[in-house]
Amino acid sequence: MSDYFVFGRRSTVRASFLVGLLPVIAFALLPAVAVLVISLTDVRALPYLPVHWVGIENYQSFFSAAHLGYNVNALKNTFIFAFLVTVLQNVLALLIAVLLNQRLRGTTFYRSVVFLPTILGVTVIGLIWSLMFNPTASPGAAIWRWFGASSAFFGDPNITLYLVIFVQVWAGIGVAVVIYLAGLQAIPAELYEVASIDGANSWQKLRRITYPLLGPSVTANMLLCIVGSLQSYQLIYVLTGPNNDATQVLSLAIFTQGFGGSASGGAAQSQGYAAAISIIQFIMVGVVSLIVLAYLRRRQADL
Amino acid sequence: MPTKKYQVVLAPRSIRVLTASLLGVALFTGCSSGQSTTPGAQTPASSPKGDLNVVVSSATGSDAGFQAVNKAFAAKYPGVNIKFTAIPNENYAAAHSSRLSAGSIDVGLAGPQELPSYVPASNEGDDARLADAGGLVDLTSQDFMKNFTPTVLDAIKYKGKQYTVPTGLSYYSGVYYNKTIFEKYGLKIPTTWSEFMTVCQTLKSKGVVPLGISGKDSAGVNMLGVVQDLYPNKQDKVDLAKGLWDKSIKLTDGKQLEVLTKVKSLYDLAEPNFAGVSYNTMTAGFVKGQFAMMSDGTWNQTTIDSAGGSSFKYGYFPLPSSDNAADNALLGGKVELTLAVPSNSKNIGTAMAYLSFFSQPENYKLFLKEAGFAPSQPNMETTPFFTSIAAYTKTFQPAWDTIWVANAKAGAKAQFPFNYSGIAPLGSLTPAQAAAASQADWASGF
Amino acid sequence: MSNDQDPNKAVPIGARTVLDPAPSPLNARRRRPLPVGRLLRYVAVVVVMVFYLFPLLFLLNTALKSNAEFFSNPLGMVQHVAISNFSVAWRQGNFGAYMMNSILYTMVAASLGTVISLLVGFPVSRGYLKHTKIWYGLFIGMLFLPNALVTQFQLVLRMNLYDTRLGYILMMAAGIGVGPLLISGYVKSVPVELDEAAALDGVGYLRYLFGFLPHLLKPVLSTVFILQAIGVWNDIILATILLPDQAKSPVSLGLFAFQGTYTSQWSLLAAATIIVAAPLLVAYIFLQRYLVASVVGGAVKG
Repeated sequence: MSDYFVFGRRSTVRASFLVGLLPVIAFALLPAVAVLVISLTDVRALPYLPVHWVGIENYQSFFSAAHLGYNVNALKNTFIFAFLVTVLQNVLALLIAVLLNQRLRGTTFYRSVVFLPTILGVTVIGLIWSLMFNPTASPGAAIWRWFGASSAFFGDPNITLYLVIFVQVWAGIGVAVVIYLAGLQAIPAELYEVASIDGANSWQKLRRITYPLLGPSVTANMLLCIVGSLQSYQLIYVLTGPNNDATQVLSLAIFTQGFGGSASGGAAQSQGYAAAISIIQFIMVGVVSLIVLAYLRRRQADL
Repeated sequence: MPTKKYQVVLAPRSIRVLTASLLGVALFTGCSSGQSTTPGAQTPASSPKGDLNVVVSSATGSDAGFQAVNKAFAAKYPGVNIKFTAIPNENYAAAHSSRLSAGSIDVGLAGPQELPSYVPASNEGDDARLADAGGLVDLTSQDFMKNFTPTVLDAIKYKGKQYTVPTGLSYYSGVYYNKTIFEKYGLKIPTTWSEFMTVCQTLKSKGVVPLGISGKDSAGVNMLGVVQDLYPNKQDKVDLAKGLWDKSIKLTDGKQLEVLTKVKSLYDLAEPNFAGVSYNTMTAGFVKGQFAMMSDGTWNQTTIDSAGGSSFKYGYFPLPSSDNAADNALLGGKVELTLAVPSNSKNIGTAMAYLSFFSQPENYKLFLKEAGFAPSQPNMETTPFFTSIAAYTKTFQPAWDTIWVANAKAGAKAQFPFNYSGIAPLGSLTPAQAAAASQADWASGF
Repeated sequence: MSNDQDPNKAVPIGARTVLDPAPSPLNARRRRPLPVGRLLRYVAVVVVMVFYLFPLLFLLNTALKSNAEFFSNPLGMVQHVAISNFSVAWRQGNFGAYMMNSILYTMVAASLGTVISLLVGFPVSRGYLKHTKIWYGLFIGMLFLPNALVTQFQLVLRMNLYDTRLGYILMMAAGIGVGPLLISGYVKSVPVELDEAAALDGVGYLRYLFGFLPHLLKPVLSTVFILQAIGVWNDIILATILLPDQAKSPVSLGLFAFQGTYTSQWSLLAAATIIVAAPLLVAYIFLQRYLVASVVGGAVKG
């Protein structure tokens, strides 16, 4: 902190800081802390019901034999989803960004097209892909028929998660491409020229110049992507509903348990239980992020 | 040259944090608003006015029925502003519970179910808890309740009191069948399971898909249809429930396993990729003649009528899951949407007036005409459709899901408790494996 | 295959570089004589474009069919263009109102969020407050908050803001995400001397923050705004919980409810989707350069 404050009295900056922070505290931080509190109670989603302090009973229930199957399934789906989305989205985005970074005609147009899903919104995207993968008759069904198969697509528990991942990646590549493209354009052209002179082929250039110099933005992007996709659920909600076992992720489980119970999640548990799931997810996201961050930082340092 | 400024010290951070947290705690625990009990405004208002929030779950038939009643109500009482919301099934639980908590429902759905003696109290459904805590207005002494058939009222009684208005009855342990297709191949309505399988094999050999199922959202009706005739009477079902609860029978034993094997047989007769087919798509497919039969409930009848037009001939018969024709004689059903008034409604008088209006035979008729339910009032003329199935409904048989209470502590696969959604292609298990999975989940709840 | 024997650019003969450097002042635009490599690249681009444009075109194709035609011919090109679905969807779907709601929520919430991020991010980055590290920790921690649907609902309920636009907007505005971090990062590229110079000129802190800085911080402020706007635009769950009144629904929820009601009528659904997407596309065509540049500008330096 600087010794002096150029603008005079610090009260202004402190007050304005507080004014800015207040809505965040009220609407974001406070509810987050309160989640911890109510995870220790059996509050339900209805008025008039008395609320009791139950300690860690909700957590025990989460790990109990009865619910463990459902919860482990949700955990597994969450991890698969987050991991595949992050990797696929970033790798494909990088490749596309590299591709678009060539001096091709119409690069601006291509870039805009790839960025388009971002502004369409999750419902529009969900509807488009439900149409594309309609089991009765759709382009997706037609493609499957070329391979002599047919599928229930979002109804088939074996592939629905991967279909959802596909759509999420499709929708999310745009932002990543734009960011990577900017990063690529910040790499001086001379480096590539020198490498060419030295006889480097394209793959070597990618590995030795592009990737290291892009490192920080790759790290940031991956981390944000992981954190985001561990918590993301709106697209899954639109594509397969909140009650589908095969695509149940933790965030959706919180929603269904907290607001009415689900057909497959068992009888409606209390909102305290849903809050316990929130906290467990929070811890999980924190742990995973720290691990990933450490790994990426080390990779960067090695370069 | 910057001069050293005096520092105005705001309250130390620790105090700020403390105040903030106290404020937060106060917000959550202290000022709970909207929990006032209305002092005895338990009679229908004579001149209803104000906003009336009617919130139900959406279905084509009943939505139209409510619209008809609302129109008449608004015509009679122009001072009332009816806000009717029909929430699609997928959103219903979440939207309903949040609106109920906020007191923004004046007339809504509720179905408090009394727990049988062998079920511990912790498994009370939310609606039952609500009724116990005084969250629903008691309608027992209301005049308009007398308009309803006494046996129906008995079926929805909760701890001796009436909290809900029955809008009708539905039956759903049967299948619709395409009369034209049946006539074409000279098929008759099957009355036993083997006859049913024969009919299906014939259809298959002629290249017709025998059965339509919507795996995405309503495959459970197949399971209920199978259960209905394997445990024909109410007592059989009660015994089944009791036996499971006191662990004297298992889900992997004889008849329970048979339920799942027969469900699997139905899956094998269904259209390809039915796992991804939604309810509306299935209905549209049936009307187009894409399959000969469709496992569904009578609530869908008005939709089929309007989609198929007068040229589409169809009927309905119980799914004969038993080999004994006598067991397959009746349809299982339930009391349909039951309307209640939450105690935290801000307009109880008008809500009661609405229920009273709804219960008058001439208005109830308006509802029935669109909704496709069987009447819950006596002396109502029935539609041709219900006349055609009168033989199957002459005694009301409650369906399995109205008797069964799930164990909240048990695993998810034991919720119905038959694990129909675990069987391929909805899941990935064989019937035996699915039964074992649900038995394991059931046992884990004790 | 010819060689450019330009001494400024000695490219070895036969070098096939998939990674061509971006245009720089050093090399003039020459016709690259590498047909195969270039062709491959164009093919790859075409593949990507197909993946992105085909679904949209198929949607349009479906919307233009009548319901009957869709049943008989779901995959082929539309034979008899029928625009009846559009009028039905417009009438039944009330999308105009939903769009206005969405625009209102997005504009106000994202603006508020950006202002908050600025108010909070700038002083921390400059070290004008004590405990800088704690505030940074807070910013990062806010990315990881547990899913607080239940308590957010209770909070809004008890503040009597349930079913109000204000309550929803405030809740969405508080979701500032990476905003303060991005701004903190970017601010470092604005020299401190500017602050001092402004102060010497007698400019107060707030006037500096809201009058002078935004011009300098335009790229990152646009990024923060857009990122938050995307989040608000895409929200369905909070809208379901906090805004039961359908008249207040944002378009994401409105379209979802429409889909729930008309599940299998694909032509109608497609028409409704086009109605929702069309104004977005139009706006996007005009703004895309600005949008993309904003995301870039703020993110790279931040």
